[in-house]
Amino acid sequence: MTLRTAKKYPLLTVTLAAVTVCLILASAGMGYVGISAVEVVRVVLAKLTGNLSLLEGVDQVVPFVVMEVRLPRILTAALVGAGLAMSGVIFQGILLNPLADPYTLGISSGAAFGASLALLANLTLLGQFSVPLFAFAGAVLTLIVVLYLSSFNGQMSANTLILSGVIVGAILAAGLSFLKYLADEQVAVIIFWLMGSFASRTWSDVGLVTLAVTGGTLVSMFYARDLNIMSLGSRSSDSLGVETGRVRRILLLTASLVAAVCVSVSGIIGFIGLIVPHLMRFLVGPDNRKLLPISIFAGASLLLLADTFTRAVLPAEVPIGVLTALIGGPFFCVIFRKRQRGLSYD
Amino acid sequence: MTEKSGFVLEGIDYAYGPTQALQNLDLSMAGGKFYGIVGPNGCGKSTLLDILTGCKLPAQGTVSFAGRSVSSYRRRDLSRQVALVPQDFAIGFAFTVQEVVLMGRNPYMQRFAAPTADDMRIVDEAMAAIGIDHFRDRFVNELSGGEKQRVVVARALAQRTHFLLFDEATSNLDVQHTLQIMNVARDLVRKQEKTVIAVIHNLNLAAAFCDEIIFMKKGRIVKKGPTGEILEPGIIKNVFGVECKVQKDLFNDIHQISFRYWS
Repeated sequence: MTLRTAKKYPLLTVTLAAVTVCLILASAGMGYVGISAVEVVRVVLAKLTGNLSLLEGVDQVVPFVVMEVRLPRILTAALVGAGLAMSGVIFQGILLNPLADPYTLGISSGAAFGASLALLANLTLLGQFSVPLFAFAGAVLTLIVVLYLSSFNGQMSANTLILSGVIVGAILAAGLSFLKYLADEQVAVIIFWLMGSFASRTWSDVGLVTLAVTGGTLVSMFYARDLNIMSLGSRSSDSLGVETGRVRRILLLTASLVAAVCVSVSGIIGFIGLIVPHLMRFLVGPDNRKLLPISIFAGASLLLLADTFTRAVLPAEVPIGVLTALIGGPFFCVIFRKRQRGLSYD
Repeated sequence: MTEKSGFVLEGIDYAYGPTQALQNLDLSMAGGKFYGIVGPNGCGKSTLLDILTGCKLPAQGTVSFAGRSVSSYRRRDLSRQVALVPQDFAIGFAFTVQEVVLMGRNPYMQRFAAPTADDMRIVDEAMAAIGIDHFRDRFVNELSGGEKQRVVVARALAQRTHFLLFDEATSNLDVQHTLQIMNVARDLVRKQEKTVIAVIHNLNLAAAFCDEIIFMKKGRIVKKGPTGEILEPGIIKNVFGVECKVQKDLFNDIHQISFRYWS
């Protein structure tokens, strides 16, 4: 049942990268003000090179719409998609479970709890960064607790990690409900943040996610072959020369930080980190050296496509987290049934 | 091979929580021999192998390999000298048989380098020796238990180490494949002076293939010595609590054990 296209892999990756770029250009032209792809390119080039003659004949409002309204949102969406897909690949590889995703370890619950706390307390001491920072802190603290719970004698197994994540996630979910209960009239703010959105993102968001995704890509590609070998179990990978414990900690930390940054700028967006690695593994096989790059581009394209759909196609904007869950949920069910019937292709 | 080239363990203690797995264990194993470790379930055999590979660190005592503490080796260096065939092999993802055997070359490959022609030749030889080359392109997660086990043995062979540790490497195999793998291991010892340290449940298999047998019970070594001298009903009764006779097997001209089945 595996459809491997190992020889076509470079072509596939380049194609997906090109698709991502085209989507970014097309999406920047879509919306209340229609702008052609040529104009988008001219605006971006004018901004990058400082050559204002490129803007001749372009409506004055266009540069503002493209550079200040749409591109920050579009790039944030693409980068968050890339980041979530990348951390999905890493979590599935480490937890030896093709159904794991960035949220399995309770990272999302931690971030949601942190963000809700900031929203509830109406914290403004850090300005616009209060909510993202609290979300990030929540995610990191959760990771620390989960790692502490799951290590024993300096070792940890995939199963204890998942179990610890589920336990901590459940406690945090209860805490979150309590916060909502306390929030009274402010509960709407919390709920909207939790549903996820890319509306009114800024260039500083783009910068932050770029940093996280670039760093994450470098670290995960460096350890990609080790991650392949770790799928044989820790006794095997130890005896094959992989520093399993150390590599596992580094990769867990990397994937969690990337996921935390993504969640902190966008709210809770599920299923991208689950579906994209799954689909891509179906296409190129389980080798993480191929799986990581292709998943990064596929995640970027998919989330951007979903965000553009809700922003520019639907008559009213549906929260992106709701949309991905509505598409991703049924997909998850299909995967689950296929596994049950022994038709698994992972 | 000298004594210095092998393993020396002194005063090893290891516990899982309140359960003591190894207690004040002393053992030395030189290179160039086929060792069999036998003992009842839960007597610490697998833990002992993990101590040898440095996968577990003893709470007390010292483990040295080739005159150096095992914990002072980089994993990569140790894995060029000691290979392990584990008992449990989780293979969650659809790598092909060839890809998994190629992972045995990991200790020799640079981080971003592609496998060399030499690596591929060694992988081919390892698959041929175990007789799995005809399903090299199949996915490991679709293989039977016995097929998976043979893939893992081939992977260990591809590591080209002087020491091979087998943790019940033939427990899932039929008699034909069991003998095939045991004979590959025996040839490595006889023809290439390599060392095999195998945890074996089947005492007659151990009697047939091992140069030395190590009896373990409750985390301690009960007795260790050349197979022909050590194998007698008294120690088997002591370690396993069963009645038996040790007799010359006329077909193979070696000592084999007959058990009293009914009490």
